Amino acid sequence: MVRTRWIAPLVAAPVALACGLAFGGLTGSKHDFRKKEWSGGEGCAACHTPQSPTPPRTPPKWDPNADLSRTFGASLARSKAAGIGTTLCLRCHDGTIARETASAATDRFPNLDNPARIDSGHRGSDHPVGIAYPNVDRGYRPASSVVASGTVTLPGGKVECTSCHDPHDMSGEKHMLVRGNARSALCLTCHRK
Amino acid sequence: MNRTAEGTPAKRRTAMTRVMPNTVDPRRRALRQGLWMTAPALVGLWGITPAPADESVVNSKHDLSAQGPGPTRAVDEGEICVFCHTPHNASPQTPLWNRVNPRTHYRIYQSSTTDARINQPSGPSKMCLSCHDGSIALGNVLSRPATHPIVMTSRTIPPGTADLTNDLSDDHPIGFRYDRALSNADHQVRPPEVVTDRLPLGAHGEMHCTTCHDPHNNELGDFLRMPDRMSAICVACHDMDGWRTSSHALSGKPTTGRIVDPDERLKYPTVSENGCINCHQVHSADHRERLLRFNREEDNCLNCHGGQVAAFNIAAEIGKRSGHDPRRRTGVHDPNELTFAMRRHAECVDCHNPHAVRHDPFGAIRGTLGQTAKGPNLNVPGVTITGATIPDALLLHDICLKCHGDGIGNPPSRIVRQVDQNSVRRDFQPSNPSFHPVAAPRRNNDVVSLQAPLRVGSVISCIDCHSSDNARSAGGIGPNGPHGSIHEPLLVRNYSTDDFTSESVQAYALCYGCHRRDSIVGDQSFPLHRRHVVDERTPCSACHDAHGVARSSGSGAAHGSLINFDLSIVSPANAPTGRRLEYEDTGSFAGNCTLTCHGVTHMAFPYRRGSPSAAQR
Amino acid sequence: MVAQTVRRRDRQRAAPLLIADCQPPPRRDADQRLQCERANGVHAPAPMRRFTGMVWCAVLVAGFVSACRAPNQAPQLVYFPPPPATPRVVHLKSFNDLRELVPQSAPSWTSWTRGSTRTFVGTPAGLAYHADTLYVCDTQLNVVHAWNVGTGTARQFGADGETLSKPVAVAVGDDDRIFVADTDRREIAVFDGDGRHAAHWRPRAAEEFRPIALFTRDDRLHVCDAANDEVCVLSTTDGSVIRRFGGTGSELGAFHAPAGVAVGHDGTVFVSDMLNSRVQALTGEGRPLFQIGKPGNRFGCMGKPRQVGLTPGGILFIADAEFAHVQVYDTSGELLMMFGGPDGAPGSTPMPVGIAVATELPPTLTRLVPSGFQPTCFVFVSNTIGAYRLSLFAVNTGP
Repeated sequence: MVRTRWIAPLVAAPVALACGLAFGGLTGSKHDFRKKEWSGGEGCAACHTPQSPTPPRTPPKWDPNADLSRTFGASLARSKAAGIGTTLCLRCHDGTIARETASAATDRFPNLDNPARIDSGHRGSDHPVGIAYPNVDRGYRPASSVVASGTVTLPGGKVECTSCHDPHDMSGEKHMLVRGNARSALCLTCHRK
Repeated sequence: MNRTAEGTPAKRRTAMTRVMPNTVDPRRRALRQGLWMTAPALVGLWGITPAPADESVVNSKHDLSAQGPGPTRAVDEGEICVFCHTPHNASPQTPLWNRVNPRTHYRIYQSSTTDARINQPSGPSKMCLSCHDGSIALGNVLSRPATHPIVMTSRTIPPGTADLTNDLSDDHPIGFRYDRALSNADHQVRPPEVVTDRLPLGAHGEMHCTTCHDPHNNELGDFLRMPDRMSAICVACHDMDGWRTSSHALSGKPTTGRIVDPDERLKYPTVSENGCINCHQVHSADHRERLLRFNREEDNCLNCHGGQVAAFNIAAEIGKRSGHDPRRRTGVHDPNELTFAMRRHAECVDCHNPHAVRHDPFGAIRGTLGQTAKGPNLNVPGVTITGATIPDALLLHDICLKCHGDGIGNPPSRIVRQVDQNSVRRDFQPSNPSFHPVAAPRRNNDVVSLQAPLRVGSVISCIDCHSSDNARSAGGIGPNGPHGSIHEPLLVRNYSTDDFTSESVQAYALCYGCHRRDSIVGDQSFPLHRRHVVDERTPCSACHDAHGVARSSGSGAAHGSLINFDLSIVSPANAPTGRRLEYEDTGSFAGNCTLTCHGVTHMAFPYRRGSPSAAQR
Repeated sequence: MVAQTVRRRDRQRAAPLLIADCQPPPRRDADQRLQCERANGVHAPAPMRRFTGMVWCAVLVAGFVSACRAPNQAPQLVYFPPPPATPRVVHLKSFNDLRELVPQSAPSWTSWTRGSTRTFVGTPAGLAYHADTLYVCDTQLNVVHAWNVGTGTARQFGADGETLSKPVAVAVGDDDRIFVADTDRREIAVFDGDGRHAAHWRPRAAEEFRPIALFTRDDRLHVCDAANDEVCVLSTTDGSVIRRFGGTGSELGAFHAPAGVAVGHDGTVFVSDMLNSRVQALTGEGRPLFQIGKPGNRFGCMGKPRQVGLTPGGILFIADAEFAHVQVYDTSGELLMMFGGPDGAPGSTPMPVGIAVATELPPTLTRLVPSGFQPTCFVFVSNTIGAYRLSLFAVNTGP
């Protein structure tokens, strides 16, 4: 509890600065929610849950022993960690709310015998996210060179939505990609094919 | 405590997996690259354009983007992967497949010699065929609406070698399980566990397009996973009997001057480098079964054995007056044919196994060739003198007896004889009263005319008499063996069988090849040879049967010394007991005859060498 | 103290056996695992019930000991709120496959003849429960599973691949008709009780309509339309539009991404207003009454509320996809508790999107309930990520 209090103001300033920078790219993109009436001109809250400064006074009725200082969700400060970016995206991009969607399969079907897998004609497979980058596989470039490209990121050594997509759309590329995919350059950043 | 104990090996394991590929892989890669850096240089010396050495799909033929290198490409789509893969909403097939599978029903490969159970293609093969069978438009991908496919320069794959069509019967089979059962059934297929990992099989051990091809890597050309030089990729699975030491695998002769397809360029300049593809075509083969380059079986051989590539011009031999001409029949031969039920035919592969043929260094030595099947006739099925079918003929005559044994449709004998049962196999039985020593040596000391190195007890083979007229073994410059001859019936030298033939070296050249003329006409054995052959101009064949006389047809005494009269020259004598045609062996160089010939009748006419009376009469 | 020690020793002795029994893959040995769970669940037999506190301590200690010994211990029953509070929710089972839930279910003859034996879910979205049958929208296989949890038989709607392309929500009418919201085809597909595709309704033009949540009550079908941020009330008889309310905005009565809807017996409509981080209560005519939750990250706040489940007794379950738990409110809007969690442990809900409330379960499932726990309703939760995509909780909503 004490730690959270100390960290919150420390984090707030860089976050605000980052938001300002980020919005340079977001302007006009599909993630620019500022013009939406519901956002009240504040575009960040759709993804970056606002922090409640004070805990509630009364605990939930059925959970009288609840720790009232508890907070939920992932804070902005941790969004560079593995998994945070992906789960953040999938809240909307799960095939229902936002249309350009991933159906969120992380290591879902381990073998080809799975009846769900071999049933062709159905659509719905997506590039895996939340998986460790296969650094030792010959079919992939070393993680160091991927990261050195400066565009594709591997948060925590994992492949996440944010590895290829920039939710703030700083590059202005199609599909909010972190870089253009002419000549499949984005794919070939990782895949040695 | 427990945790540290568990944690340490795990940490060590990850450390190893991290380090090992980094250290081993580049080294191996460098070695391979080193080898293949030299390959184009060598190939360049031969004046052939090297395959594009590119390890990436980028700029390969599979780069269908608008900037791609080939004539088939997108009009404005700049991405490369998109033609097959998509990161989102892919088909459930791995790897993130962006295409629908074709619903084509394929004609699949069939062969009488395969033990594989070949099914319709599945899995990765279907994915390849979604472009390569020509049924689905190249730009028709899942990530685009069906109404707005990627616009391509060619809607589907253009006709050519890459368009496999819905007929996969002329392509190497896929969709069969390559398992131990297969390698157990066919010993010429390696057990799957010894096949290199570079040729991956499917999830159930089945063969796919991707077993041989890596669609992303065209470093070796044709997207092959292993080099096809010296057929390395083929022999990874196929272990043909005798292949490693065969001339077809080892010959460094250039493949220029082929007679059937002189214009087609084989991938490599020499026979050994081309290996299997000298004769076989892995895709779109002209002759579907066994994937041969040419539909007419003999064309696959004559292509090179027409005088230019291989040493001997077999094409010229088989066209001679008497020959085993494989061009007479097409589509009759089958490697699994039953010798007693097959239609009569002669293909090259009836006597030769192209996977096992070897040069015979002793073939040029003048004289007898011996009895065993050697170099050119290794690993050929046959029928033994006892009539048993064997998969690998040990003796040369085993090969001949496949057709000339008891087979249905043996042509009638040229000479109608006293004893005539029309089976070469029975002619040569070692139990016969007399026979030429092909199947077994013959201990007849009466044969005094033999030229060295032949002697009583020697064995000869069919091709000592039946061979090309210019065979090297007979002093010529052509190939040994019964390919074709100007002397009928496919004889190495002239052999006159007409009555009233004037005796000469030439007239009975075949006989005199082994039996000294001076001994025969000098009456060293039968004391009346000169009288009959020279004076009366009777041919050798009037009295002697060149093969042998079958036991079932006469007693030992009646048909010794290959006596089996030609009924067109010799006729029975009118004896008191009826018409009789007899010969009786009464000892060394002695006997008597009862017959009518040239108007003369012998009635139990006796002879004995050394008897003056006999010589005078 | 003596009892604790004895209990602990028992657990230590029993633990290896349980591990050995429960180690095999859960799908194959669902039966065994079930027994293990029951064995683990019966850790409060009659004599010990008197010493509830001590038992809980013993369970905790034993659990800690066995967790240290074997981190992959078979999943145990997880209670919410955590002890020592009175347990209100118990996690019964997490599963991907009907056969894990109802182990004896074999492919029935009907499923063979109908050409489908699939009991496996790809990526679940909306849920519904009606007459012993759990309906699961599968956005990966693009079918709606209808799993009869009483008999263990599985059926699919739209398995022909022709009628559904992205089903995200399902509702079942009283006449057994199935309504499926297809967000790709932008229509509501209607199936009759035999699984035949009966109709498809589209209250607006396709490009102006995108249904993402459904609820039926009597002859009304409430549809959340993400394209217009409104709730559209249709007649279940012919699909004609009765009423529309809502609209884009952040004020009360307007929505942004209405991702779930439920209607109470008194006609109150609860709409989860996802990107406004709240659930609104409205009258049947669409007049806003009050809102539950607000943006923030503490108790009483909401992240991304998705499907809403409502019990007949007026308890509201709200799947919060951002905070990875299910929030429980009463119909006056008071927060009761929350259950689930993001950590992937047993009973967690890493990204809950679907809720289905069942007041009665067949005996095949009630036998999972530990003795001593008196459930008044059951809640199925679907998750779009995680090792197990479906979870079953028993809830005691009593006083």
